[in-house]
Amino acid sequence: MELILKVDSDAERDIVMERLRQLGFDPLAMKVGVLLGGDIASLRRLIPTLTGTAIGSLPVPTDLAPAVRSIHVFGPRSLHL
Amino acid sequence: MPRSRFPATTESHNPVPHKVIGYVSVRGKQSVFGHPKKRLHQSARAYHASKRDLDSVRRDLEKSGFRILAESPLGLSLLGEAEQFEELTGGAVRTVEKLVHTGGVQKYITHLDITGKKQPKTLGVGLPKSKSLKIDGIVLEKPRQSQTVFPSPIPLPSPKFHLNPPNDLAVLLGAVKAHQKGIRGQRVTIAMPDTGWYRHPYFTANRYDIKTPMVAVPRTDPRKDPVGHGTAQSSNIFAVAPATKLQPIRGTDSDGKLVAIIAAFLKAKALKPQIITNSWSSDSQYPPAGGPDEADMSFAVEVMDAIENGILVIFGAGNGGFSIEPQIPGVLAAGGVYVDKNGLYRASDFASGYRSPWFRGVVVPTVCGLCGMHPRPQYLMLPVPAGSQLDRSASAAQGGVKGDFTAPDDGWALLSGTSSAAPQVAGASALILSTKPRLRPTQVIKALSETALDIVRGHSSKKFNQRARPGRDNATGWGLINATAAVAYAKYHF
Repeated sequence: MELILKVDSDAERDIVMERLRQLGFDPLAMKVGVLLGGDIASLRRLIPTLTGTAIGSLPVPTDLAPAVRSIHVFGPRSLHL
Repeated sequence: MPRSRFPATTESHNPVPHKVIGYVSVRGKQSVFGHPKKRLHQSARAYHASKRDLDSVRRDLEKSGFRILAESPLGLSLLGEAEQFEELTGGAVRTVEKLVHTGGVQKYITHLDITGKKQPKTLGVGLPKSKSLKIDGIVLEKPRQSQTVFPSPIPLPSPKFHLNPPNDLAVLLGAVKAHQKGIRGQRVTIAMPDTGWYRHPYFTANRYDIKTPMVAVPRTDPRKDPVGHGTAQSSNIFAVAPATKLQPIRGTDSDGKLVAIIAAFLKAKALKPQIITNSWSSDSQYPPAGGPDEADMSFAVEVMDAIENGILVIFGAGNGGFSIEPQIPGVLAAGGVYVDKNGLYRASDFASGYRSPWFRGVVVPTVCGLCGMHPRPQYLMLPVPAGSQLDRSASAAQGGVKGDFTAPDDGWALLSGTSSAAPQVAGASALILSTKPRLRPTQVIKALSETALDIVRGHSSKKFNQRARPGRDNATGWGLINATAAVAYAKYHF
């Protein structure tokens, strides 16, 4: 599963990335936020409201609220088979 | 016999067998070892070993754990583990694929070799570690009949009408003349986020240049492709641009699920390749109820940023699906054209083709590569890891259509889709960029579009049902790419 944590500035993105790394995640910087990937169990440690079928936006956990504006789940991608 | 375009030997991925059969020549008055072109003595008696030496060597070998299978006045046939042969020679036992010509066909057969500093270059021949052993030389048994060559580096046959890489694709996509002029995609790197990449012998035998694959999911194996899709589709690139460099990036987990493909794209972008080709996308409802969601828009921004930084981003148009990726402004969307056995060209009814309801002026596809037809586009014989998901599914019947008549574990699969078209278009783009490296993505797209073969028959997949017509249309865009013409256009106009 992949999520984007949207932020308003580069400085906030750096803060969020640092925080996620401290929590053991491997975030990637995006132009408008931070990409976070992993299995449901590990992501739920950070976002308790996450479910396996979640799509669209999710509430921002308090821990990340000062820097993260919103969280969105990427819909599944499939191969052009 | 004409010289083969395949190398005489190539690296092998087959494991060394647990038990190895070899032959040990016991030292006599004359020796056949030491020089590859040594002439044979008039009589075999000159090579006979003394009974004393023969007994001594037999004892030594048995003590080392070898099983003696047969014996003659010249030497002993023996069975042992590879490690025992390594101990005997001080070298390493390795597998090598050797090209053999048999029954009018060429194929690679797995051979064993003893390699090491003091070992002769002749395939399968070794020398003893110690001269005191009274052994003249060691020969590992050569395969005397066709063995498992795995997988074959040459496309397997199928009674179904299909195209074989690389030549059929190079011809139909107009790349041959460019190749003859030495334009082969040199100095261009194409990154490919996909399911992974496996070093199939097809790539080695054709001497294609592939960088060590990267992974987006930590702790997954970069050498594996459990699905087979990335491996198969990457062969399309090289059919058009044989000298280009490929950087595969695996976006699947250990089960082959596409869980980190956005991350794989970001990793590709960070490498700053000239081209990123993508044979995957999201799948949204059509016609859409509203605009793209925020997650997709954030990805669209990422793609647009790559393009603004000079990276040509290609996405497959989709196989009847509707998704944001091929619609992102600036993306080259690759659709599908089918060329049948009579040479008739038409829009593939398997490929997506529509005018974007989200982005003004965007038509999906921009141009087309080769793609099969509905309901099952068994069109290109592509290399896959043996026994991978695609190898198995392609060989099985599906929806009343027979499989591809290859085995589920032979490393070849008959398939296609806009997954194939995207890397073909990437290959043509690499030819352009190898001659004009400073071109912007829009210029590469212009060169491909202006020189594409206009397709006037057929229609896109049923969901969109757009007809191919003279000129640009919503089924095939500008038409089927012609790589050589696009290179010439770019040279002349830019």
